[in-house]
Amino acid sequence: MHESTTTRPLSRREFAKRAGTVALVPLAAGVPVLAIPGARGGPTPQEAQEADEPPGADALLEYVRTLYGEQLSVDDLAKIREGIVGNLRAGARIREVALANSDEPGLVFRAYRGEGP
Amino acid sequence: MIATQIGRDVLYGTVADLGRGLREGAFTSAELTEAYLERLEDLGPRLNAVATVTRERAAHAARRADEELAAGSDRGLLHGIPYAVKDLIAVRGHPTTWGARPYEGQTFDEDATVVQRLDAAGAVLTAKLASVELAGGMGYEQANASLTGPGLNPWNTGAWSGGSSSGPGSAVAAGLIGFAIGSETWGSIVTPSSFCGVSGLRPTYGRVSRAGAMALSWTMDKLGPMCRSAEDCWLVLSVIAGKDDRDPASADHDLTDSRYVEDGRPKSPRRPRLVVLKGTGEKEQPGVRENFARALELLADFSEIEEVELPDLPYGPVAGTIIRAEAAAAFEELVESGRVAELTAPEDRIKPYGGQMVLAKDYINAQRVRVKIQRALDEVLRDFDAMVGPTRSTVANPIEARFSEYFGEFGGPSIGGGANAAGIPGITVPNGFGERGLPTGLQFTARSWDEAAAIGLAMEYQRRTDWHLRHPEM
Repeated sequence: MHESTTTRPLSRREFAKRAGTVALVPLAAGVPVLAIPGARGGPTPQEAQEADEPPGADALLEYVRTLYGEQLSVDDLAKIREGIVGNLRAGARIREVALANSDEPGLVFRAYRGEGP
Repeated sequence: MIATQIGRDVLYGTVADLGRGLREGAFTSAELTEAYLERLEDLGPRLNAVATVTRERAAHAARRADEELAAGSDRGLLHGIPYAVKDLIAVRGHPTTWGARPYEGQTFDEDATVVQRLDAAGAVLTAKLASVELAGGMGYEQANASLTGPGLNPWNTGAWSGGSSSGPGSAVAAGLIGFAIGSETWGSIVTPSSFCGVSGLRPTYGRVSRAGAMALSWTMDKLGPMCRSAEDCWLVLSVIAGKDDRDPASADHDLTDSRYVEDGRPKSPRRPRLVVLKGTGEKEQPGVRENFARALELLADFSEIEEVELPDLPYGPVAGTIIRAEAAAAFEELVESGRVAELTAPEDRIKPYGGQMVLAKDYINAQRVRVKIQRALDEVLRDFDAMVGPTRSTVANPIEARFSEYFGEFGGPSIGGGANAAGIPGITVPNGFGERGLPTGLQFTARSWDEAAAIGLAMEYQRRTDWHLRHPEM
């Protein structure tokens, strides 16, 4: 665990309050999920754009928290969010390159057939 | 004792020099190996350069090399020459830590293909050398990011040796071995080579088998030689190159089937055509700028040099997205288990979680744009013999400085992201000294499978300069 940060698992409410980026929306089934941009407390797509930040960072951060929240502190999550924003920015920059449907990836799959008849 | 008998200058020799000494009877492989082992054990820890010394295996291989030479059986230019590999390359019976605490006790029961090929050529494995943890793929931001501590630069131990092939860089520069094998996904051979003042080759993707080496990014990882001359890089590459059934990406391209090879050796064209990226020499650290200007002046004596601007493509985002996505898959278990928290650099314990969140479509699109990058760079390079530029925009950072603080101050156009995304080869050679008495590097980048072009030009540069013959006082 990161020595210099809090390692206690976060409650969902603490996370929302301290990270200041997401809001909780309880579902009828009782399973809380984090609202994505546009929900209460979260940046609208317009706000995200104004902050020069591709939308979706908080949804992906919530996925990280769902999978690994027990291992992470608030400070950790804030740093992870920066990384996610970086991933999304890189994706946005890549999308600026015009691609035709026929532009294949630089990965080649080959059919396999073992030895024998 | 043997080390002093052989003499420090001999130990700083090139592979060709050492081979000559062996064949002329100036020393035996056993004596040479013992001399390097003593330096590895004495100086290696002082530079944080060594993960494991393979003393017993080395002694056995050196004895065999001597017996064979005495019996008139010569396996070639690497016969009896001591070498070492970065500790992400498997060596049977010894730990392979990948520079990372979670893998401290890891062992493999088979040697990596590069080790098998070097063994078969009669070379003597003496050590496994320090690596930045997990080849630097977790996003480290400062030098202290390895199980063995921050790699220290033999030219100035207050500076970093570079990463992620930190140990190979400092061990070759400090004369602890004859040559080393490093790895590069994005910059991990050329950066420590430049920072430590050695010659380092990033081969074409697929030229050298990675079987037995840690996978960080399957479509971008390369293994290559780090040596005390460009010619040595060729000699080592000649042995380790070639198709290997254990690595599906390895290719069957004959290294010597090239217009840049004559009598089996790289040869610079009589009047080579070189290209420089527009804007080079404007934003780099002053020492780097001055040394590059001087190198360019020297190259202009025998070359035609033109300037070009690269097509506007997202070189860095493509390389970064591919590495993050593939590393996320390669190390998912490390993250999921929570053992990522055992890594040395605080940022390496955290960043991999974000790496898990690269969107699949972004990864695939990066691979699609990658093809455009390959074609664009090939189109630029096909009218030239090589591209030349400063390997790095600065000398090595002070050991305590965060990368962003030190490297962020300088810039200039770089071929690094594009070249690694495109899988094309490049060699760096020392071209002077800059700030704090630290070396700077000059890089030649060539088209795919044209290692001989880049190496031939680097050899010609080294024929006219003596930077590669200068060594740190250790």
